[in-house]
Amino acid sequence: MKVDKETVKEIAELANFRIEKKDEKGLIFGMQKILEMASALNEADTNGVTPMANPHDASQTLRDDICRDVEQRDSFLALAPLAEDGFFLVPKVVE
Amino acid sequence: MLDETLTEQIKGIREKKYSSFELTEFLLDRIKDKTELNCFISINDNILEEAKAADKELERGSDKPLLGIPIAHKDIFCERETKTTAGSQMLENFVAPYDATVVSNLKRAGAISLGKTNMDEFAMGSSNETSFFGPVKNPWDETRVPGGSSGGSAAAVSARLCSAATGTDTGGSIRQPASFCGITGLKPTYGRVSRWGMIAYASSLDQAGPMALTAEDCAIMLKEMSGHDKKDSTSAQVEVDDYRALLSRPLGKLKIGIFEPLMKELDSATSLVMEKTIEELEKIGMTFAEIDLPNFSYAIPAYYVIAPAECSANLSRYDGVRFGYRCDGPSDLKELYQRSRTEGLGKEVKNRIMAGTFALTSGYYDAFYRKAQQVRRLIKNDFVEAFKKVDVIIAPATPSTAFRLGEKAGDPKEMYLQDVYTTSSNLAGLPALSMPAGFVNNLPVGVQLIGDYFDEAQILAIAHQFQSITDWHLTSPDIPT
Repeated sequence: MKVDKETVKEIAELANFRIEKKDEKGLIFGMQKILEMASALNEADTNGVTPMANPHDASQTLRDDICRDVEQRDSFLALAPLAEDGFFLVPKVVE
Repeated sequence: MLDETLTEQIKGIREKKYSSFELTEFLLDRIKDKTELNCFISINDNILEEAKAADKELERGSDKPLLGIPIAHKDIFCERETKTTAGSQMLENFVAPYDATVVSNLKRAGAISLGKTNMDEFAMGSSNETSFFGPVKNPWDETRVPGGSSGGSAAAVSARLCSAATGTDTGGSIRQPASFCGITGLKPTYGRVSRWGMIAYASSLDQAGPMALTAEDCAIMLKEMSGHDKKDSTSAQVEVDDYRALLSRPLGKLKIGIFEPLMKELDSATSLVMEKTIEELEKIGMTFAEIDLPNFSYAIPAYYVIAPAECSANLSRYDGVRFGYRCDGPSDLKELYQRSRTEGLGKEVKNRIMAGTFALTSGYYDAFYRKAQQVRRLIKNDFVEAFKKVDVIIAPATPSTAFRLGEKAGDPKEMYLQDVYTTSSNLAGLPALSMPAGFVNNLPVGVQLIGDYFDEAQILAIAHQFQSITDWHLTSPDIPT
């Protein structure tokens, strides 16, 4: 598996990163190292093995649909870099 | 006061040898003397008031098990009105509006929060060098790393800045720094401790655990940290043992499994430490048998697909909108997302998000992510088979002693191989601890005990009985061997 500039560009777009030219080389190197290690998995015989997502193969637990938490809108909005009148502020999306 | 364990501090306060206030003052002074270690990202400004309140509570007859004990938290646990940074610029000024369950459980037990310890950024690292707040130094040799990602907690306990701390372990982040710093650290069974309020790295692997000088201290901490939590659907509905009460029980002739290929990889000095540990364990009645873990070598590759994949999903929440770092003057929404993430996250975190995103793309999902999840089951099955033959498994904790700052910074692969003995327990979800077992060139060496599911009591009891006939765990960096 070879990581090149195009791969980095495509993945950065998916991961919401803006990669500067000067950082490209480092990211190619970093990704390449992880994927090189991962390629050792090809040698494992996994025919018919069910993928495992949780160590206990647990399924999603459900609870009664009862409101438990108190309203904390203001305390969570207070964490936002920019908020006004109960809303998060972002650059204009619709002209 | 200096070299007292958590157990001794509990006794010291209860028997009025000193007050919580005096103990806290002593530790704050010690932290000031050891700032060069860079163990803490923040200190709780109100702790002396909280210590006074604990002393009053004791006067009123409270019997909370950790009353007035200053505990340090890895800066990955949210704590109300306290900065929780996860070692990242992204969360440099993040103040959580709630306590993590681990934090509230320990507060309920009477503990007071000393401060938040330094860590690799978002727990991604094995040396503490990826922290935005600078690396932690190993108290045994300040030119060396303390391990990671819970390096601040490990170094703080080792330097006697606190008797116990919390840590988290996704691929070895409690056990490897515990080994490097000469302390005892336990990663519990997946689901034993609630992950609620613990900043997520890889949700199916992350688990919080105690770091302290002794197995007895870890047992006390674990009991208070554990239990089912309705707020974490992955927390287990399995009864919590009284781990401390079970420490000295007769263990009989337990059988400990050895996977020989792991022992053959060790250098001669570390190999000698392992041999001596096995001899000591024989003295307390343990017997040994060879086991086979045929898929063990796939643990690192599987981990470095699954953990990055999960981290790429978990860290997508840092978008500069709702909390955390936001770039200056973005011209549109896309630029706001992209620049906030690119500027606010460090290099290693970006590497892992990129690799994880890649492994989850439709063209590579089956070859990487699905394949890694299949291998994960094979690794778990190997352990399940092994535990039919043995009660516990012994393994090295780390491939080397603490390495020098910067020594492995150039090659991420070398850093990732630090986790070679530890990741398999995370993939399988098994409990495992590292206990101090000797020294190589004046640097501590840890040995790992891996237990069966939810049988933390067993590995803690073995470690405790080992520690009752050895004193590696009580050797302090101020008095090197």
